[in-house]
Amino acid sequence: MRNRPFFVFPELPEFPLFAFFLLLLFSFFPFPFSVSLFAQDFKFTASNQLEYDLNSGDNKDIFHDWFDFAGTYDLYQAGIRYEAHQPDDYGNTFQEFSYRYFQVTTKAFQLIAGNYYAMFGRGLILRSYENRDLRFDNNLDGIKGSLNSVRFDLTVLAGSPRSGYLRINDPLQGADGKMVVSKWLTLGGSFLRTDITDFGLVRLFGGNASFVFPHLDLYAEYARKDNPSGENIEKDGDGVYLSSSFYQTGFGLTFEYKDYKRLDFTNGTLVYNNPPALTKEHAYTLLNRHAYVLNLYDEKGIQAQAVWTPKEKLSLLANYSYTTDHKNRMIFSEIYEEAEYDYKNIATLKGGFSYLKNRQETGLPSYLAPVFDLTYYLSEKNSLAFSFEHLWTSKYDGNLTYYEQIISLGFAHSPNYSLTLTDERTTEWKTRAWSGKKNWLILSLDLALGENHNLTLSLGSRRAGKVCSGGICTDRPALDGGEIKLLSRF
Amino acid sequence: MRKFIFIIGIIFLLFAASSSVRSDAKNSTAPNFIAKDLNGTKVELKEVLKGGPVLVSFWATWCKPCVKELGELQKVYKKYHEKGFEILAVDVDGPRSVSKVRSMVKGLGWDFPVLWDESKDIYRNYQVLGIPHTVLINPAGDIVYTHTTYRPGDEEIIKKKIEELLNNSSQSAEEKQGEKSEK
Repeated sequence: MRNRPFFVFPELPEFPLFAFFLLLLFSFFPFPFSVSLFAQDFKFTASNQLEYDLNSGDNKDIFHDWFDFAGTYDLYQAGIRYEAHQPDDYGNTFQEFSYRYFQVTTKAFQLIAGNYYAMFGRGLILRSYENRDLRFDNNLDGIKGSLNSVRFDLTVLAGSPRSGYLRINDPLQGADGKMVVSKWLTLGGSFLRTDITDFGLVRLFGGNASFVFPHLDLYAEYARKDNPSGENIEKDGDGVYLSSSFYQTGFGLTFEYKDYKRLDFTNGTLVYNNPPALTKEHAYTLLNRHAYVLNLYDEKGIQAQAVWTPKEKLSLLANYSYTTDHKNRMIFSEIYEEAEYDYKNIATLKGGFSYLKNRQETGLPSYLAPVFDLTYYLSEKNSLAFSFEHLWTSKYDGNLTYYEQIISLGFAHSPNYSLTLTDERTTEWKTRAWSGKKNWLILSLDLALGENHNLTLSLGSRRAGKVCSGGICTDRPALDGGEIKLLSRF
Repeated sequence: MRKFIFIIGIIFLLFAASSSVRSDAKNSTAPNFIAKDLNGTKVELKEVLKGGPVLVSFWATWCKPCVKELGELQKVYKKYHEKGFEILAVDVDGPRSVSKVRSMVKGLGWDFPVLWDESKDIYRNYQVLGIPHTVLINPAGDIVYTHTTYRPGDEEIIKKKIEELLNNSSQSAEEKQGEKSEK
């Protein structure tokens, strides 16, 4: 694998003033103004995401900014993204125009030159996407063409993917097609290849079928990876993903199955494919901290989820996930139940319970976690919110136990602001040598500045921890000081 | 520390800017899009707008406030759908959760169309930075209201805006009818 940067500023200033300059400019001159400068058919949109942490103890700060700008004229669109990180996840200063494109779009045809994202099927072969919470972006730089009709869709692409903050020089070429055979059946097929420096040609191909019946959906996808150059032949692999959904008004049931064997399609640290992980994606902080990390080399498993609304004001959810390796050794399992009830439009109560085992972690831990949310409506616009998360951990066959707990209390005034106080504590310090904090307290103020700006100011301390999505996790640093998050659309 | 002072300065300026441009920032044209609903049928915003105002709501199955907001919006949908109001719930779930969307939508009793934004193209075209994010569009295709995050009571503002839009369209229809009969 050879890496090269996209575009590096000739001299990096100490502080990315450029981001702030753009932010200011577009704050005062929203787009109706911009449009009036040109013909009526020109349309411009832009957004900025700013995150800034200042830690009081060591006086260290972390700054992230993404500025996106797009202009449209008739069928044509062009866009650019400026991105700055001081420091990035590797401790370096990074700023550049990381995404730029030109595209032509009609109802039947789209052509993009520059950067783009793409997914084939359910991601068994290719998933190129951005997740800023995970600091993940594997966009492709090249060309993508799509043909679309009522019965037929075809996408052809070629491009170099981004890995971390660099561009990989080994381009991908691929195609993905879908055909509507009948009202209830759609068939698809995908192909992807790359010639990896110092490794050789690797290619993936697969097919999928989607059935839509009254009250029942079925989806099946198969993908195969091979290495025709003959090197590392043991790296050949395949994967299967199946899902079925049964539903009627007030009730839904989904059952999924996965079997991934040496399907990891990688170049260095970058993985091109990201199929369903079949584990519940939690919004609760503590449950999310021990989420399962997808292992495409060796895993199989199931997930079942039921949602039931027996009464208008009551909804129930049950979820079961189970993943093993191909020697049938359990890696991850979770049972999760949740109930939500609206009490006479005065309050909403939500209670949940999770029991999970994650054998990817040291000490083969089991976790038991009750969670509870209460929202009390003071008036049409004002409400109080209380949230409780308790995670009891048992490691080394029960020889080591401790708990973590998060309690938060908030007040919200619609649509202008909300104020939340969050306390986290742990008893893990009793189980091993410990020098850091034992509890963390943070006060957050979330403000809507007009319709287009959202500002969050936080003061206090927050524990470091894993943030996960789609089977991919990243470690977020701790905060002990102040944090500013500003989301702006122009 | 210089950065911190600078950022605080920017925020104060944004406060001022947001209040001064608030009304001007409205009425920008909504980007048109085509996406597939849960049956695989292609839905185009431009076509849906012919029936009346449309609320585009960006959400995902794992997003607690999104699910809460859409639950409230279902009540709004029930009340105004017959008068021409439509909701397009744009799902930004990844491949991991998308299989659960249909059973969840039906399980929670939502009746409005749900579209899957597979490559998040609609999300990017609307410059969305976080969910839930709602965009109310009038029949002429202009954005009349946008909102990010959900706090209980936000749906009341949306209700008022929808009522205004529906009243305006029925008034203009009556005026047109009146002009025709005068002729």
